[in-house]
Amino acid sequence: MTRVKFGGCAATIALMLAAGPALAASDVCKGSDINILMETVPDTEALSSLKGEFEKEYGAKVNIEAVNYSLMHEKLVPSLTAPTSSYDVLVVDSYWVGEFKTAGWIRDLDELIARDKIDTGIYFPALMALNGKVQGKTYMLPFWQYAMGILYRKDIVEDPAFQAAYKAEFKRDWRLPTTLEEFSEVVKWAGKYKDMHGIAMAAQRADPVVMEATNYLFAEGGDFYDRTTWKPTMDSPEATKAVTVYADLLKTAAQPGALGANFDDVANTLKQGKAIFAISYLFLFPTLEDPKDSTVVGKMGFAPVPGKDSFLGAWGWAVPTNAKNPDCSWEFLKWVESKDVAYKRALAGGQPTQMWIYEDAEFLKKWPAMSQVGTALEHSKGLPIMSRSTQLVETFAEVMGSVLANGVAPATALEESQDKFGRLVKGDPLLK
Amino acid sequence: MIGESRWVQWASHLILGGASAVILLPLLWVLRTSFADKVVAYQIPPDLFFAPTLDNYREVLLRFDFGSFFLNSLIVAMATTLIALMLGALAAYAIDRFRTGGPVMPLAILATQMMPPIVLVIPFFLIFKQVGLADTHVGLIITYLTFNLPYVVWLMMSFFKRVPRELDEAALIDGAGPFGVFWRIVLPAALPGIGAAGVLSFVLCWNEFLFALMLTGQQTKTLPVAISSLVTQQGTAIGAVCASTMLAIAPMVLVYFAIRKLLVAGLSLGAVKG
Amino acid sequence: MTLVAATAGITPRRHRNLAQYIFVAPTVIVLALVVAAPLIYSIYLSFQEYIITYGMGDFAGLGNYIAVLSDDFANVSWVTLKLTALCVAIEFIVAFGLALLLNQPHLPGRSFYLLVLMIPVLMTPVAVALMFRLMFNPTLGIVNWLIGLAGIPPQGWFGDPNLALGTVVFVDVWHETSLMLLMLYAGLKAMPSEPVEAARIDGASRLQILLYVTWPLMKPVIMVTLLIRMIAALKSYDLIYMLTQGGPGKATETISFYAYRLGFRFLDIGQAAAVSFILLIVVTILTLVLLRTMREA
Repeated sequence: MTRVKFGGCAATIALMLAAGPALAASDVCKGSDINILMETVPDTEALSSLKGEFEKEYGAKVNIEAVNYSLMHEKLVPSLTAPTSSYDVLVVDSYWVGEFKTAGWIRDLDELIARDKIDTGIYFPALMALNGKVQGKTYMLPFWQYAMGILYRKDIVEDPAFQAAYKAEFKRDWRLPTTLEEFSEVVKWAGKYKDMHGIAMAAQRADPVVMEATNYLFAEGGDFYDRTTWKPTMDSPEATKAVTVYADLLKTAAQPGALGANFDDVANTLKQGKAIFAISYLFLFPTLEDPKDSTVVGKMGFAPVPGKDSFLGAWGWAVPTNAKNPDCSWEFLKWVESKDVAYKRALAGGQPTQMWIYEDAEFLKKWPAMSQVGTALEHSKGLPIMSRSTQLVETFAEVMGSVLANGVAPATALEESQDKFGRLVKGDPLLK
Repeated sequence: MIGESRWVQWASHLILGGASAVILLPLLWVLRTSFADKVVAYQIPPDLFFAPTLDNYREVLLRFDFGSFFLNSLIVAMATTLIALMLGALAAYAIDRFRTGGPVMPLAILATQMMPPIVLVIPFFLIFKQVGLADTHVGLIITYLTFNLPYVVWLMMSFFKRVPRELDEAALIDGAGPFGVFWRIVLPAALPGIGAAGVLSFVLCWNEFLFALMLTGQQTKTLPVAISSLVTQQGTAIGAVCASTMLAIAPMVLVYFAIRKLLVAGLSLGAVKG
Repeated sequence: MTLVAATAGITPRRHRNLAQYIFVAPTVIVLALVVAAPLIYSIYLSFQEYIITYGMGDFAGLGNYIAVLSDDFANVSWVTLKLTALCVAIEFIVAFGLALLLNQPHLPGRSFYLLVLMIPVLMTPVAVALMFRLMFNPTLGIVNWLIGLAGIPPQGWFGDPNLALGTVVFVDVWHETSLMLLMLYAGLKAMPSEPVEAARIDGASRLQILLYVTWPLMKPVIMVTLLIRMIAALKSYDLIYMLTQGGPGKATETISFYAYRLGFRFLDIGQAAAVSFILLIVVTILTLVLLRTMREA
């Protein structure tokens, strides 16, 4: 195939696009359905109200199906194994990425990106690495960032009396903790001093406990694997330290019953003003700042996780390989991540992935805590992109469960888990 | 004797009242939460005299499209129940009276229910997608039929078993066919059983979750799946969950009051003087 | 399995007439067509190495069975048995007691009680679970506040390894007793009234009537009620899913929740099918045991 000819063709298309985008795009999408499975996050509603624009311009119908987020995986998998998918556009959680890639469920977008000259440089590099590229090829456009950090009661820690007491206790001026150990000391002391729960924790099985404890692990500089040799490294002193600190905080400073609590319980504990600190998602801010939901409006602050790295999650837009009309799906991806639409979704309370939005004055005025996202993302990493990362989450949850519920010593539980972690990466085509 | 029965009456009311309270108190809390925003819902100590809000109902009825989810649930549950009762009662009658299929038959029918749905759901989905039944009411009805039929058959069998066979034989001698005996003699005598099997089947459909999740789309989604979508990563819309729970119960309670007389008549009709 | 039964039925010993087969045929056909194929397919899968992510692998022999049985299966089975036995037993005792009370000849307020006691079955397990998670929330829930008024220290409920299973049982009993009550009450209603009256005239006490008249007459209905409830309890996972996710630790992990995790979280269909097949055997054995005991008793 002659490259020149193709280039010329693309140029003509580009010209046509410039002349009348509605005309060219409608060729691809006319009469198509775009079915998307999403959860009802704030910007889903923004998207619902904007989708009319896409429908008018492209002649396709957009159907957004909302389910419980933890059930999306269950619902997607059978559909992706079918000859044609029920969904034309996917939103992919960062820890499904490896699985979806290995199973061959998501389309390589590089050719389309090059054809339509999409600039993926506008996304945070950390997010492109986590929810964009796999093994050097682009499979997704980042859709949401799930940066995590310390959510804390700004009004309490900035109170002069609190800071004086802090100085008396720790012999130094007030500062946000810089190491995990310091964080733990401050949390325990502050809880006693204020007669509140020092920290709100979510140690329920699987996702909640893993998402929290992985922050502790990464903060200490530990990891599940050596990410070049893929040998499990959960027997490291860093991992033991992280799990020990987590278990200690859960026992001594967290709200009672934290072992059965999930993210929502943490959010509500904060919103009712019962706890001072939490390590959780930045995306909780829109609800923390909603007076109908929260008694701590305007009182919450956000800071990066102390120590080395924090844990990063994200979602990405993808086109399933078994989509009915992949060209139209791609048009939708371009539209939904176009500057205008992305910006409107961000204002509605979404968690944008394009860097420029975080410099926008209006956006920052509406969501001040979001100014921290850049800093949080600089020192963050996700779960390893591997084919069985969902099982990685389950395996780590089992380790945490045996420590937290059954009182097994962290070092012993971690040592015993080495084998299981090792088995998960065996024969994984993504790690060669 | 009168003293004893009065004592028994009091004790009965005490126990039944206590059991009703165990049911009603949490429901009152749900009712309260359905009129509360999140700040009030999680407030401890609870504020009993808060200013109620209709936001949750507005949210559920206007934005969440409760009506169509309710209707989907109702259509699927009603259709399944009607078909299951018709097919199931006939089969139960034949198995009980003629031992059709021998002793293996009832066990074989029940055996189809012993596999956990988790492994069945993916093959179901793939087959249904292939034949165009995914995301349709019909698909869900067929699926639910296969879950409910065995239970309906078994329950009906246990009721038919107690209808004296002498009644059948008398009717047979009078020249009735097997269907006539079933329709005129056995079925009326086991009417409470039909009622119980009907409610059982309805409730199993009404509450089923996994297959509804997999086999429906936005348009055919049933209530359990819809309610579960109120749990998001950003939090559970507990007020909306409570409002939709209340809205799902209310019509049933109204229906109950409307047909109470009928029900009572039906039940006492069924109490045959064997 | 159903197919075998169906064909066995076509050569009858007692050939009364064709009608009986026409009566049974629709049920058998529906079950055979819709359930049998996936059932057989999943039994095949249980002997196959099949992780969806990697696609269909080699024949695994008993590999999947060995893998799941060696992975803490004893704990999962023990939790399942405890949960099922507690739920079914408590629900039966409560339901049968209430049904007897409701079935007294002159009971003012009967339809009110019936209505109230039936409401829980109209609530989807998802909503029931969310409602109890709200009320049993250790810091923000009404239950700990109420017991606090009585001077009892706050409990962790779903987050306490020692209390979690009990709390799940409580929720299950709250939700599922109604259905049992309904079936048993209908059973009492459909009972011929003459034997009871005859016994009463003979001067039998309430207890004697219950033991020697009502119980034997109710046995078929009781058996089916227990059977239906037991099978449903062994298979259910949605309450566990919403309440505890099998935690804390593995305190509430049941066989069907384990199967669910293997199938949908690990996408290991081979192992999930193996667990399910083991559960199928367990359910079958328990069913046969229950049927035999009831027949003998």
